[in-house]
Amino acid sequence: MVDAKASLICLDEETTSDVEPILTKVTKKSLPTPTTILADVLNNDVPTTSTGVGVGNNNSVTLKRAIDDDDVPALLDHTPSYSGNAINGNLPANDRDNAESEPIFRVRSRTAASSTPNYESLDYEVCENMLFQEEQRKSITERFSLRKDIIRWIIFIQIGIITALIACTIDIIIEELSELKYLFLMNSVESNVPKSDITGGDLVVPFLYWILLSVLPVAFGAAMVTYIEPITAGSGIPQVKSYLNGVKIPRIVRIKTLAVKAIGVITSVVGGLAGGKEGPMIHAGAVVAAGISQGKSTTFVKDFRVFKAFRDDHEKRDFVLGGGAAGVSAAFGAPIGGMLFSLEEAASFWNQNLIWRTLVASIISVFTLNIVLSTYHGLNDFTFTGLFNLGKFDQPLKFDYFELPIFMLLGVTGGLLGAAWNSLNTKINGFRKRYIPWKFGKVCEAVVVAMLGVTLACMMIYFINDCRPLGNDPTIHPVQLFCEDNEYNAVAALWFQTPEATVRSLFHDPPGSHKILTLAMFALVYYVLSCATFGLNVSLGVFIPTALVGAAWGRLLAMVTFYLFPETEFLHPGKYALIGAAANLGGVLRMTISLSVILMETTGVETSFFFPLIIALISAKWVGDYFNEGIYDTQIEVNHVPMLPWEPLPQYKGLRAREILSSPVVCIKLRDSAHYIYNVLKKCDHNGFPVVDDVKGVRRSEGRVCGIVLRSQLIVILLKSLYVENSHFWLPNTSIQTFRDVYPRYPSIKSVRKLDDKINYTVDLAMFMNPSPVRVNAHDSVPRIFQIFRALGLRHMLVINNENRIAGIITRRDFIYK
Amino acid sequence: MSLLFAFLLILSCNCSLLLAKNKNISCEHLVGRLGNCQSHFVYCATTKSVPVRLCVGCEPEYRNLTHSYDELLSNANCSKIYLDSDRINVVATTQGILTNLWQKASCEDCYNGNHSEMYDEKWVILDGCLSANKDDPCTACKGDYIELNQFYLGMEKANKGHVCFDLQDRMNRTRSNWSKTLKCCQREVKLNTFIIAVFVVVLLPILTFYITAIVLTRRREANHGLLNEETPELDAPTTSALITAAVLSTATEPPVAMAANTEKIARVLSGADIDSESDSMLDSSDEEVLVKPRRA
Repeated sequence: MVDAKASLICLDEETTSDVEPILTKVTKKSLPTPTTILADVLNNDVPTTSTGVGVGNNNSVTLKRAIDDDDVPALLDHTPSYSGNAINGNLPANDRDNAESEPIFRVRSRTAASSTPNYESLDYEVCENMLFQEEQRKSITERFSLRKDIIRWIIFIQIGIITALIACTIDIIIEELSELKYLFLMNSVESNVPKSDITGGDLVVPFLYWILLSVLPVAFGAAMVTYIEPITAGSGIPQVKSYLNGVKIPRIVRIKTLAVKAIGVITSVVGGLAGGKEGPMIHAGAVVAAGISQGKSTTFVKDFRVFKAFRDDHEKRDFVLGGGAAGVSAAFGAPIGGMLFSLEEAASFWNQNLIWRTLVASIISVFTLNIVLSTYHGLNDFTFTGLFNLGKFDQPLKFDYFELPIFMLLGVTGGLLGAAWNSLNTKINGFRKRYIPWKFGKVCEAVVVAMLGVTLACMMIYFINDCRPLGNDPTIHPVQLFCEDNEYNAVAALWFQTPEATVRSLFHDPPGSHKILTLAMFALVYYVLSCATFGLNVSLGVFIPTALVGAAWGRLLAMVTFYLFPETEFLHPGKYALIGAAANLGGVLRMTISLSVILMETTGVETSFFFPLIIALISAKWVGDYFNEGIYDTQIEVNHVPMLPWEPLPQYKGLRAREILSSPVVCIKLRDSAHYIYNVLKKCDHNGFPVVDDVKGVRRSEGRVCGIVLRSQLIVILLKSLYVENSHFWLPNTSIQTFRDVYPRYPSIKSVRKLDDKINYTVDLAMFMNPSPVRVNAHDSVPRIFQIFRALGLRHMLVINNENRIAGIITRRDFIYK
Repeated sequence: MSLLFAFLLILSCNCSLLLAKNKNISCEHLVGRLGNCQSHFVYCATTKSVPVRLCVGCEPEYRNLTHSYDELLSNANCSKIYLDSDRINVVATTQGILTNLWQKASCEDCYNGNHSEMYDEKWVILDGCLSANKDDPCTACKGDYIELNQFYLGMEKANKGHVCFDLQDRMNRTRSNWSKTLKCCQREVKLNTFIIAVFVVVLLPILTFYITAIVLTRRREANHGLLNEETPELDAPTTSALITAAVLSTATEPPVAMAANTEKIARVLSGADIDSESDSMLDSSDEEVLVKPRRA
């Protein structure tokens, strides 16, 4: 009981609406019995609890609410934040005037998506209410639209530049710290090699140093991610993808997220986990875009009073799209790949102008990156392309026609390995979810995986004696270890660098730089390690480890073939490493357009070599798709993010709107009492409320539709007291800006004071509601509705009957089949 | 007067003719010399390729070569004739190849400073030592070898890897001789401590961590069935909800303690209600302090 009370109080004191649903879920589900006790005790024994305990006014509200919940347990317990759906079973019971007349409520069970109600949609639909139209009219006379367009361009350019600068910072810090770390370890290895006379040391010393130097940063990064901002865990691409699809991921585009993500990725790459920094950079780009375009920071309570016209979800999404593209470009040095990435991930909502701006932002981002990194590396021209340029091949890559089947075979292998990787990774993460739910445990696991990686690497270096003569290939810091005096250890050369540098050396090292055993072990170890690493609570991308595994087995395949048939001449190991990397990426990520273009751009291969790359990618994707989905989609699915797919699911084909809609709908009259609105907002957490007129008595849910109003608008109306009775106070200086000012963190209903004296005031929604909501008939087919829903990025869709009376409502959740 | 003029005219004509003839001859001559120098250099480089003595052994040839090429270039007419004359551009190409060879071997490094001589000195010492101590070179010459090696490493560091190739080659041979032929490089594979460390530092914590996690989860999920029996629900909640419920329910105190707690609060509060004196208010606030930590 005590616990329950504490958490309920928590819930009440919560002010940001972001976090609310999660809390709601936890408390409500766990409460049935404690609530009863609480209610009983408080009802019977101590009626004056609230003043006595000293928690204050809040408490009494809480308790009342708990009692209310108790009255109708079955409904509210399992479908708490059903955005826009009619599950307000407790509403009529408490409402004093419509107790008996409302129809019987039922919960729809076809899409009982009750498991994870903690995601909401974004409002991509522009609310064209009267205030908005007024602004539009004004803009025609002021030529304001031209200015807005120019500002938009300026923002896109800024996004490109700042994203690139952040990418540079991350890159340079990682490079410097890794260099320091690995130089130290190499020197330690060299000075501790046991010799036959007593001068040598013991090789356990560098091993322990290595563990220490990996565990410390990883633990730091994992702790930051886990305790400060859990949303930063993982690569960030699934989150950005969901955001662009229209799902509101709480806290995804905040400045704090950016800081934690940047530090997290630096620590984990320096710590030597099997991961890259490209995914986090995309996320960073998205945050930068969202931040700049708003011209204010809620975290620092600072409003620069610029870009006010862009404060809604629709405009923000466009900028985030550009930011993501700039991030991809900065991460790979591939501007077109970046633009195509955003096109591929969010293509349902683009237009020509937007893509053009996105491309310009990407190119500016790459250019900035080039300038900064070239200066940093002391080059006079801007030749340092990208953070993850896989390096240009010295001589043009050629291929013979009989190699095409081999490439296809590599693609098939990549598809199989990728599908296996995805399924293994999903299993591992399922295990994690079940067995390691504690925060401390998550940090510990990151440390454990880091230690495992170091141990495997160290064992490979110590036990595989792969000695190569010095000077034949460009190894910058050779380690001799047990080799003869003019040789170096090829295994150590593979491990003592960041994963990206390893990809580059696998692509460009001359033939015969490694033994077959070395590469086979390396591919195997990295396959397992990357699989265990992705899904840890650290910010890391999956692109580079995947490319690395692919490059390793591709090169290995070429070497084995050459070993079996020494007379063959076409087996250029770098070429096969590239094809292997492409195949493995295709098998794991299953991205198509952007992935192929990124690979082409980062390696700078000739146009004639696009064909082999495409063959490998496409066969990998086909084979992989036969087994499961790409890793990003799998992640989204595992987290139950309500993403809309490209097509409606086959289960929905042949259905009609009335079979998926939710009804009855909580409606608000065109002129309704402030008290009713306040109660509705308090009782149910839906986001959109149809505005109706021609209501018979109190049966609002059968009224005639005239518009839709959003929760955030209603809260602003209540907060600013925009009532009919006092309209002469606020009417002159209320504009669309009044509503934009509170974006993006809308106040919750709890921040609205009780309507003590204004209880009989009226709200006229005619001015605030969106008079043109998307409406469909109850007989319309579901696939058709889905098309409209996805193309327009809707959040609510009203279903009406033939008399334009509300018949139900359809939201994003209704399309997620469970 | 006119005679004088005619004479001058003839003289100037002659002169220009002579000059032109001179020029032609000297250009051919210059090219011939360049060709000669090139062939000398090529001969020298090829004969001294293994072991590499290119930089030290062919220096005079290379100097001659560059000198004669410069001469050819400095003559404006000749350079016009022989350079950029056609598509193949033979003279510039051959010269380019030879200069490239010299530069690729970083030969100029041999003549910058005196490290080349110092290296030679140390090498001679080691060589002498090796030939003097045929039976046990490893112990006797170890100091010399290490000194030479250290000197070379220092040189490599200073020059960022672009050490004169003669020295590189000689060092490689010396090292190879030392470790392969003489078998003096004795690095031992001794990894016992490492293996113990792997078991103690890595495997043990990893196993402990996962076993603990599994055991704890199993224990936590032991309440699973219990919870289901207690509150049979028509709409079975999801696993994750059950887990959260289980976490919360294990965290709370047993019913008895909870009841006691409630009673206590009630007593305190009713006490506060009954006597409204300031003393008892203080008392109750004291009690509240006691109660508070439990609530949290």
